[in-house]
Amino acid sequence: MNRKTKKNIIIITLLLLVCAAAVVYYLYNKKHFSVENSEAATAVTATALHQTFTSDSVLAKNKFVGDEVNHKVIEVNGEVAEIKKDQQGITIILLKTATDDAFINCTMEGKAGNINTGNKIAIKGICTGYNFDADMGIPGDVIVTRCFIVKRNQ
Amino acid sequence: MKQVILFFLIALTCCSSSTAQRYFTKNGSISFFSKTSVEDIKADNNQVMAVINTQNGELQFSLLTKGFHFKKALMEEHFNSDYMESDKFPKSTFKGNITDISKVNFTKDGTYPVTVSGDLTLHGVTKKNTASGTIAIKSGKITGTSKFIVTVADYGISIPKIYRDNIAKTIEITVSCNYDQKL
Repeated sequence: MNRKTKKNIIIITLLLLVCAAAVVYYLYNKKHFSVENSEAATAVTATALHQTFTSDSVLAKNKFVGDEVNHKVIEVNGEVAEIKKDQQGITIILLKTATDDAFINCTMEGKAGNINTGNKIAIKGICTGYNFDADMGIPGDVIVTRCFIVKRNQ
Repeated sequence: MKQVILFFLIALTCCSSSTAQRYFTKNGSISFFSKTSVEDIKADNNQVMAVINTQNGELQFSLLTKGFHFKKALMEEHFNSDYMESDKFPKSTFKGNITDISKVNFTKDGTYPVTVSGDLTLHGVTKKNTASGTIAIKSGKITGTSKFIVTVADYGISIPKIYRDNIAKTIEITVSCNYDQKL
């Protein structure tokens, strides 16, 4: 092997290492995708969303929840039952369902603005599933996180 | 006389059933923390459903594993796919008791240290766990907090070799729930 070939091999190896390091660095620091700029995969009413989870959890999971790697953004249309703050001071909007004390539990990432109980609104966010446990004796909520309001006072 | 006794009996049953109270929240907080020399990893879940029975000390938690939010997107992906397998095991639960509930005076403001014991289910594996915590009463509002350690391997979670330096073998779990609703 002459000196020139050797030199080339070293240069190529170094370049590959730099590329690999750049890819690792990029992946490691990859930001969360923007829910605000994402198109909702599907739109559903609060009542239908809750009902799908209680009647057919597999169908609901496939339709409304992403997989282990990708979250799914959905749009939920419903009537505001309550607006409150969680323990971190983040705004929670509860949307009514057909079941008393069962809600679509929306944790806001965007501003809630001027929303009142009884308003009909559309919210988009990441659906993480249906938090229900029969032993606990309380109706479960469908959880939607990182929410943004897309339509208000319809 | 019989009527008087009957009246007192009825009054007594009413009183005792009114103290059989269950309080709950659907937006409680659970976070975990992993510390190694390479990096610190923290994730929060603020949609924890929790119920406390102030009479017999029964305590239950349920959360959706996919609801844990990490600072870095890649960590969240790895957590859901490689470690917790959240499609297969979407929920994590705890079902147990405050074993010394009688120490807590729910009608008097204060912070009461308590012991919690029960079954913790993570990644489809259920194990007995005991932890210390506190119940704080302030103007009738109940807040429960606890901090405990979980060994990752106990719950069938294996960490690939290349991440052994990044993820701790034991994870610190912090629970904080304001039980602001009454059943």
